[in-house]
Amino acid sequence: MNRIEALLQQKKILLCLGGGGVGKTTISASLALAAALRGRKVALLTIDPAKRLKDALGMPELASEPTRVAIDRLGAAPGGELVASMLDAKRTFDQLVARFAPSLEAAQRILHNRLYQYVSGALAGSQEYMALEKLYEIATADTYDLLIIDTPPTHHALDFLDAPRRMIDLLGSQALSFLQRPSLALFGVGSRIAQAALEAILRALERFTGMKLLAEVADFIGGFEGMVDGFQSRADAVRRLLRDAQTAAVLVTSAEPLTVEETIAFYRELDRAGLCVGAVVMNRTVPEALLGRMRRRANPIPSELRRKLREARHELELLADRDRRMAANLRAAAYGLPIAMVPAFARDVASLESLREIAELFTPGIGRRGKVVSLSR
Amino acid sequence: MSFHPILDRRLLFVSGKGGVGKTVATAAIALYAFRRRKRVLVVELSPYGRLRELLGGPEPGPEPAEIQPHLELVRIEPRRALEDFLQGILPIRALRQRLLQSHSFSILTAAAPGIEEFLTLAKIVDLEAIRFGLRRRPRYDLIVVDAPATGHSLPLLSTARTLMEMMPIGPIGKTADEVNRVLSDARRTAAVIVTIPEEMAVNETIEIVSGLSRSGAVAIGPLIANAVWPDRFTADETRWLMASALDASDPLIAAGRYHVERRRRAEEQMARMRAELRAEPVEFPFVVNATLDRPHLRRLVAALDHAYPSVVMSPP
Repeated sequence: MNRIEALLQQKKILLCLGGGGVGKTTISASLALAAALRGRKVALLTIDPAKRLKDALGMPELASEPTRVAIDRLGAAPGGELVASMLDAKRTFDQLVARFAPSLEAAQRILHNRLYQYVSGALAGSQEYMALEKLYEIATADTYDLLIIDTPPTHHALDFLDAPRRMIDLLGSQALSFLQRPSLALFGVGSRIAQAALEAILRALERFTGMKLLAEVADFIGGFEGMVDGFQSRADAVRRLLRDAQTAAVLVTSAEPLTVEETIAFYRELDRAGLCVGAVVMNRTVPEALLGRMRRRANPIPSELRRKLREARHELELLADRDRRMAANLRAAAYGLPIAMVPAFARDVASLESLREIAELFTPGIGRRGKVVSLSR
Repeated sequence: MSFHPILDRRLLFVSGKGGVGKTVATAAIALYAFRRRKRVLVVELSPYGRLRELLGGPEPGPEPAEIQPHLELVRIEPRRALEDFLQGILPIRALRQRLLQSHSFSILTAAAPGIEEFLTLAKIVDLEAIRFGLRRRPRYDLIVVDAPATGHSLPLLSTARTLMEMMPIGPIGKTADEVNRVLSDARRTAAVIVTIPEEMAVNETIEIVSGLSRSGAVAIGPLIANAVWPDRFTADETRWLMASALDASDPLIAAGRYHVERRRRAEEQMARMRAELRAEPVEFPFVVNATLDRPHLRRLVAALDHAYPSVVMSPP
């Protein structure tokens, strides 16, 4: 059993992390498929899948409800099951408010507050926070053997892991209470100047936004006052869950030098934060099958075309060189971490069959055709 | 005389999904115009901007600095724009700092969307308005802005209009009106959208372009498809390569077929853009080991030369 296979068999939670545009969603879907075909009961939580991937998984357009993926025809081992859903951050946040609000009226008051609407919808970090909230919800329901979660693209791993703490800091009455008694927060003692200055700013902001900021803020603080403890203990539980021995991160990267640099920084941050990194998946590398040894005159090729083909071949070799160099960089930075190379398919991944082709790279021998795994230790 | 989508404009905002190559595209457009004797100012909005690596010159700061005659670079940081604005209201520095650092202030700026964006835009519009000499000629013929990723650009470009609708009178309303006049003037200002020919990126591009057209906040300028797999083979050659009779285990044939497939996929996405946006994307070629360097940049400028041929007036 290779080490990615071991992760898929033994862990309960896998977090797929990586920058934008590396194919994280596709990789998390194929990891989930690989585990399901091996007989595990898998839940996949995606953030923003491409339409074709949604179609491949059989998910409807707006799919925040779990969809059962039809994997039977792919020859799943007994017990294997895959359920996919999409994160709806706003809705998850609303549900969280409803859960912790002391009364229905209190919940309604918050849900209609304009500050809350920005915080839950547009404020940076709310999607990350809610991804973790949803993760906790599914994990504690204990319906599945394995939960694989795709994450929003981030430049820093900690932006993701710290999202709950940062958001709670914002929600906490501590930070906002200064708006009600600014002089205390600014100087520690009452000050008429501070009070006047702040009022001037709030007036300017009110002119700017056309909203009664002071009133909205007071409402917001009042609304969250009784709920912050609930949010806080929930965030602590998520924190413990992420550092649990049964949780691991899978870093997804491309072979672009800048992206690999970012991935190495990611790895270090996670390591420092006490999270187990289980593997790195390097996506869209040059397929090894293309780089067979050159033979003499296997086909009679017109000479002008032969020149162009040599050029094309040379370019692929350069790219493959880069892939190897970048894998070596990763290996040097993260000693002992398994690195799986997933080749770039010439076509978009648009069907369950093509997802399975990737899944087979992780767990050779599932399905019909066994594939070579280029897994370097 | 026909209207040139780059050279006849004064202000271009270059935007697109994260990681698609906005910065190189910004630099390429600036150089394209510079080589045609335009006085060009390049604006970056991020404290981590990398335009200097591409264009050279001194470390960019809040005042435009010359890279070479008629090519300047300035870095406007939205946070700083906000600080300058606060300075007008709150003259005590310590108080201002304390306020900018506090959590509650970030929540307020989040709740008052567009303050930083609006102030940044106002600064850019100020730069556009600079005139000199007796004939009051513009100091810059063209200003190229390396704008934030699309998720943040749409709000950036729409703030002026939103503000103006909210506050038609008063000092902010007056500035908003001015900014909006410059932005919505399609002959003066446009957004250049950069993308890569992949499904997700193209989806987002279609979304942002339609969003911008609907809002009418700013005209859509050239569309740039970056890292497009090159079109290597003629139609005959492609037919020959894809013929099933060939021995596919021949690495040359395999390499050729792989290139054909990749090119086809890129073309599919380009075709989607053409169909949905009714615009012809400028193709920036895929470069093996693409790094942010000058040889790479020269290839992109050449792609612009090819897409918008007009007389090159000074040597490269």
